[in-house]
This record gives sequence, C-alpha cells and structure tokens, in this order.
Amino acid sequence: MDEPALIQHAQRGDLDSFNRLVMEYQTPIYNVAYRIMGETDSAADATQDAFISAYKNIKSYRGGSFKGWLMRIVTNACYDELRRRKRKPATSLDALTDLELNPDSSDPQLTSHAESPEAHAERIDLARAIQNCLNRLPEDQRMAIVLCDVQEMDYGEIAKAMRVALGTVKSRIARARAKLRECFSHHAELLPAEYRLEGKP
Amino acid sequence: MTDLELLSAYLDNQLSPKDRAQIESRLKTDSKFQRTLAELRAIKTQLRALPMVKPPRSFTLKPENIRSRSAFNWIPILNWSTAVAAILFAVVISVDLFRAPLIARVEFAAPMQAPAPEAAMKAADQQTPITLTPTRTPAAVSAVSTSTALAAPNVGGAVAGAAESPKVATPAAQALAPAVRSTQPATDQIATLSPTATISSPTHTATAVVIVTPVSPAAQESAASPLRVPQIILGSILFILIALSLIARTWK
Repeated sequence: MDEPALIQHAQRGDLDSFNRLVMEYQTPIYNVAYRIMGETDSAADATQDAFISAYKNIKSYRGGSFKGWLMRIVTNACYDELRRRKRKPATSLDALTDLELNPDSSDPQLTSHAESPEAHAERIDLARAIQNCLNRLPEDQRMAIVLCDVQEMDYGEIAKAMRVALGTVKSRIARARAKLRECFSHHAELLPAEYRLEGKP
Repeated sequence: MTDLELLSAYLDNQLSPKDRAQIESRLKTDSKFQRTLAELRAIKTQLRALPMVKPPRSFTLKPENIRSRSAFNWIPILNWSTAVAAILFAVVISVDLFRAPLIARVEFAAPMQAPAPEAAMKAADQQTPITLTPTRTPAAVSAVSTSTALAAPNVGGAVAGAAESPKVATPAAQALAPAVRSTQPATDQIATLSPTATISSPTHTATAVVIVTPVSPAAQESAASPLRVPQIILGSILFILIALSLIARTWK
C-alpha cells in the first residue's frame, strides 16, 4: 500500500496502517532524537512520544512531506524531553556520563560485518567524538545542525520544524559549525586525513 | 553577516546569486577564507557520514499504549485555572486597597455632617424618658448609663446629653460624665465604620455611646475588612492550584 493511502487509513483511526508508517520512518526519526538527545533512553522516549503524538494528531496532517511532518513532531518531543531533563538534572548528568564511559551502550548500531575490527573501532571512536562535540552545543544549535547536516533538511524545513525564522536557522547553523570546528580540532587524530582540520580558528 | 555565517550559508546554498558571486570571487584570492570553507565542509561531511543508529526497539503503537498515554492532560487546565485565580485574587486585594482610602474620606467627612451639639441634645431631650436624681450614687448612675445604652441607644444618648447639660448638672450627672467619657476612644474608632457615624462628633459624647454599644467585636472585625472572606477563599484556591501545577509538572 502506498504512503498516501496508509495516511488516509490512519486518519480514519486504522492503527495497523499507522504502524506501517511507523516501521517505515522509525529509524530516521529515532536517529534525529538520538543525535539531539545524545543518549539512547531519552531518544527512545522522545521517539515513542513523537509517534503517539503523531497518531493523535494525524488528522491535522494536510499533505506535504510526511517525513518532514514527523520531524517537526520529534523535534518538539525532544524539546519537551530536554525540558524534563532540565527539571531533573541528575538524570541528564547520568546519561552523559553513561555516554562517555560506556560507548557500547550508546551506539548499538555501528555493526558492519564487512569491516575489520580495527576499522570498526576507529569508526566507533570517531562517531563517539562527533556525538560528544554535538552534546556540547546549546540545544537550539544542536537541533539545527542535526536537522541540517545529519538529516539533510533544507533551511525552510528546519525553520518550520523548529518554529523559528529562516535567519535564525541560518545563524544557529553557522554558530554550531563554528563551535564544532573548535571541538573537532581537539579530535584531529580521529578525522580522516582528507577532512582533517588544519588548525583552530 | 560574519565570514563564518556567509561561508556556512554558502555551503548550504542559502545565499542570493549576488552574495554567492561575491563569496566565490573572494575565495579565489583569500587563502584563509578557503581554509575556513574547507573546515566547514569537513564538518558537514563528517556529520552526514555519521552511521544510522539502529533503534533499540520497535516504536509501533499498541491500542493499550495509546489509551494509557492519551489520558486527559490536566496541565493546561491547571495553568489556566491558576492564572484566573491569581487575577481574581489580585482584583480582590486591589478593591480592598481602594476601599481603605474611601473609608478614610467618610471618616473625615463624618464630623462635618454632625448636628450641632445643642440640636442633638434637644432632639435627645424630646426622646428622654429617664430622669436622674441626686439620690443615686455615682457607681449606680454609671451602671444605669451603661445598661440603658445597651438596651436603647436613644436613651443612652439622652443620658449622655444630660451629663453635658448645665441644667442637669447634678452630682449624679457629674459622676456619669467620666463614665461616658471613658468610652470615647472606642467610639471614635467605631464611628468611622458605622453609618450612624454621621451624627457623631468628637466633641459630643452622647452619640458616641449610642454607637459603641450595638457594635460587637465580630461586627467590628467584618466592618474593618469587608473582603476578608473572599481573600481567604481565593488565596487558598490559588495556593492549592499552584501546588497542583507544580506536582503535575514534576510527575509529567
């Protein structure tokens, strides 16, 4: 069944149709949440909340990119989750500690049977270093850069998802890149030679 | 825009053709500019190269999952109720504060509306069924003045009027005068709050006795602060709503 038909059925309350949409999009949606939240549990909570919210509000979907619509919802869910974390800072610190000390728990994905153990370890280290740099960004900048560079959304979609002006998106992405540039310079040894940064700004 | 913002927007194809041409022109000659662009491009490439993370579980929804999650959300209602209660509380407090100066004006105006002492005494004399005799002891007369005042305000006024009248300046009346005067501080206070205060005068103790006797402490309390009950109720409601809002937010 094609996507528009599944959406129509879901809008009439057909949970099975909606779940087929969930299976289609849960990986990119979870990835956005994971990159924004920085750890698995909060990302899973935000993703689940996002799909529940999407099902409850699917009648308000008026066409356009369904993935973009879901991205807006998961972005809001991440905002809510981050606010909850701020109210309970101990949880947040635990999560960050867990990410830094227990990499296997933070990246359950990175399994490729085609690469050597060394290459796999390097890739894990690089991904962890990048995620640590992302985690050091302010939330607004982190969301903007994740939607732009990880999810490859254009500025207009990001502005809609974050409910801010286009100019705000532009400046948040630029500031995020400036901070990432500085952070990456501390992990130069992890970067591939062709992308290695030449020095601090 | 800073160089970094310009290059970042250039990297994402978010510049106007004119700005884009300027950037490209500068890139041909400025090596530092070129290096910054290369670094930003490296960051973008690295982020895009991040591997997709496998979700730890399926996020498909179950009917019971939706039912339990779609429970009624009380937080917006609590927020609005708290706001309304706070506004009402503020209004009640404001009304109370505005009423205080109003009462003060009435208090100030009251003596001006009082009848002349002579006229008041004349009016009192016309209603006076009591006569004072010198056979009564000062203590007895004092007791009579108090009891008559409690029983009938008009009579009390007559007694006090007699106390000031030179025509009835008997020993008993002279003895009565200090007793009546002793009520003066209280009467001054009550006169400001009672409608009958319009006939009072700081110089005329007769009416003062008339007023002080019917006013109980409870009545004085309510007269001094007529909005106390709404304030207490609204304050309590506001406190409860704020507590519930905080609890709801904590447990969300």
